[in-house]
Amino acid sequence: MADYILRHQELIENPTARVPICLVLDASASMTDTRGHGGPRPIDALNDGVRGFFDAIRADEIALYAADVAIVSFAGKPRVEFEFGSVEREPPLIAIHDYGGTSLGTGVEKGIELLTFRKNQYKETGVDYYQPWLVIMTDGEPTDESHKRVAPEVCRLIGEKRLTIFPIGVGEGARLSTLKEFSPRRDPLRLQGLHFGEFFEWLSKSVATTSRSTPGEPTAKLDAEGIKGWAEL
Amino acid sequence: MPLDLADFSGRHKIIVDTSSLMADDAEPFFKDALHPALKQAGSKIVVPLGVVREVEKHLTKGDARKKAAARQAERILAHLKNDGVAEIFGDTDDPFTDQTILYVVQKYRTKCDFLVVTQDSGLAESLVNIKDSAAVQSQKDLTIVRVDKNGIEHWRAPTGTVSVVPAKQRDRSPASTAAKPGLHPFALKAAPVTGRSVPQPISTVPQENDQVTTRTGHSYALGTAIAQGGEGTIYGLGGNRVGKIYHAGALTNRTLAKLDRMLSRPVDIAGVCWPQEMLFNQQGEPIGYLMRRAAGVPLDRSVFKKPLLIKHFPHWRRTDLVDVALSVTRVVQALHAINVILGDINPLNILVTEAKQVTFVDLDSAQIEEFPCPVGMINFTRAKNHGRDYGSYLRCFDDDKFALACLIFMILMPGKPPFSHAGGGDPGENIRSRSFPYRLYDPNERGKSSVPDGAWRFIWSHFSRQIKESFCRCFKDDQLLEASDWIAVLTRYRDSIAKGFMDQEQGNDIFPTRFRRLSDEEREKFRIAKPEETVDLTCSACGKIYEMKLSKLEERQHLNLPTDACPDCRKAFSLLKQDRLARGAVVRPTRSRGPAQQYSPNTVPPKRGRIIRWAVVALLLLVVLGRCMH
Repeated sequence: MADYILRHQELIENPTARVPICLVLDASASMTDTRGHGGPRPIDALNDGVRGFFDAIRADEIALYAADVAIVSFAGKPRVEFEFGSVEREPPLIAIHDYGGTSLGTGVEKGIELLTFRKNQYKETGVDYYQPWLVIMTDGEPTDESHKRVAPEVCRLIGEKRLTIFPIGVGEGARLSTLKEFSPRRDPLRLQGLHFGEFFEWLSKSVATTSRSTPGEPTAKLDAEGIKGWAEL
Repeated sequence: MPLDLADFSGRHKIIVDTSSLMADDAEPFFKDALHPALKQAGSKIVVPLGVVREVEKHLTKGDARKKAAARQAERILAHLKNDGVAEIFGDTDDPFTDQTILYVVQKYRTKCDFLVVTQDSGLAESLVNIKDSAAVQSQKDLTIVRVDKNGIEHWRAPTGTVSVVPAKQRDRSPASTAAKPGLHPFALKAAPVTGRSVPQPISTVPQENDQVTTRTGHSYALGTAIAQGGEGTIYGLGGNRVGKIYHAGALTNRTLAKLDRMLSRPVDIAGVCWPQEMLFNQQGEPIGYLMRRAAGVPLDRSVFKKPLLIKHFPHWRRTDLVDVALSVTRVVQALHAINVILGDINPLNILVTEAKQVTFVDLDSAQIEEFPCPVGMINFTRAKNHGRDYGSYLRCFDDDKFALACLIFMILMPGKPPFSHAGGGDPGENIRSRSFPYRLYDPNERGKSSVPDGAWRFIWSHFSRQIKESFCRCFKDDQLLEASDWIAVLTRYRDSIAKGFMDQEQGNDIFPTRFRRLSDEEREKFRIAKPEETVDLTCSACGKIYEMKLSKLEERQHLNLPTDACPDCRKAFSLLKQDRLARGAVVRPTRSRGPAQQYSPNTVPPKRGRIIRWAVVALLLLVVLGRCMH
């Protein structure tokens, strides 16, 4: 409860327009599979990437006060790893879930739920915000049909310009066609190897651009040059 | 050099606007210079009836300063009218003097020569646009001037003439930011530059330690990189000089032409990093420019973020914030005086030091003559320009005045944008819906307030009446104040705080923790009833002291509502409850009145469980009652 009150204080005392970002991350058993390469486990690379994301945002005061981050992990069920708030708090260490399965839909649903309530909090307390970003990362195929139920709602929000989505497939096994169901406008991207760090660095830079001078109204734009650093194009 | 009245007093129709009659140095000009000139030429000045009405209005309604200026205007008018050298025209239906003057000039532009005397930059600009518009090829003259202590001078310098910088300096502070006398103002243009903007071919972009040279052959070695932006990198050049070197492909023919234009005037304004000399690479290609080094931290990385404000300027009080706002306003005033419209006024481009010196950087984005300012920030852009490409149009003084008002607001309310309100959200949408949430009186007084949560309502309540009125005029009525008006208002506010006329305890606090309290004398003076008695309570959740009206406390106690949390924390709990309810759990704060209560999220059974519990309580009550009856 004390943590909640602190987060609420931070919410109303910081006058900066926020960029709410919800990360929905796959933490199913397959994220431990090194696929015979002998390299790091994907879940470890992901955790390093998240830590790097927090560090990159903290390194830029403009991004630090604008970023409002939540993290959901999912396997068979979703789990809230990090409630919305400043990244001055320590990043969570995401562990592989005990429940089996990869319920992509319920994970995304939880993310949308957190975003909806955060937006309600902004409105109730008079905090300015930009439309939220939703990052989805998964390395396999869903084991249920929940995405069929959730995807239309996500597409509707995107269509109304109330959400920007970054769907990312991790590794060769990731089924991009399922991710595509969530993203009517842009095609999902496949992460190069385990270049989580490059992706999150790119994301943190994008946060700061919302509070910089631009030639027109600020929008979350995909910086094509920057994407080359982490995605297979 | 002031203009010679003899050039105008014969042929020209001379129209005079309210602002000039009320200007500081106006009386000697109208009485001692213009009057004899008109007499000699046998002509008259034209005064729109609207001007007379405006002067009358200020005589009764304005503040002391406005009233004094209006009395001066009244004296001038009476003086000229009595001697038959002033003529009033128009009818009572003219609502806006500006519109009347513009209409008359537009209509008779091809038939008569006009001399318009005004201090209003917006009107002057509209007139310049009429003059520049290609549609009307007029042989007749249209000259737009303003009054200053030496006489009258051009709002726009026509080619070939030399005029002085308008020294409209009501404010003569020691750290004067006024431009050098003798400086040629830039022209105001009606349309932006056309033609394609193409990147300049550059063989090599110099890096650290590389040599760069100026046009006069002076050579510098690039020092360490100080800052990197979207367009280029800033390097130290030794001393207090720095160089901006553009990234490959970022320097276009248009930027180069604009820089040439900027370099044609030695603008030397304290607090402005104006480009001073072009810099060339070893191949002799232009690759950037030299300017003064700026000291300080950008407003957005200091004043606008509470933790950073405390970190960088731990000893600052509210008067220091007002000083920063004043310095910023003086720079804008000095630039406007030479017709430089900043365009991208934003808190990342303004650096501030502990000693409250401000410096505007990134001047190469400013609008100079026909070269638009190609970038901007939505927070500082008027609604009518939203959705437009910043580089596609020329901005007007009013656009800057809006941005200046926003900036002053955000300096005094550290970082909070003026249109930020409960129920809002998107910064652009907040401006478009024109929902300025603050009110002239106590925001708790009438109706539901949409003032954001946190200290903002307290800060607002501690503003002087004049500061509140000025913000309401800008953000509610769209009547944008000139920089000189802001200087007067801010100076007065600063004096009131410094002399202790504001709240005795918290008037000089940057973040007051309660509403302003009026002294007994003030209440008597303004005939305000004594406020209800309040009690100071400590919030059991966040530990802050908050005040509550005694009657409200009693009411809440009577209704068995919690009284141990401050309004912000109560809001936090209610939001959490909404959240948990929707997530399938229920939160119920404990409802006791002891001093050390804590709210805790109790997961209580769903509805059915609660009904059973109430039933048990009711049954027990019945049993107890039954026993009592026996």
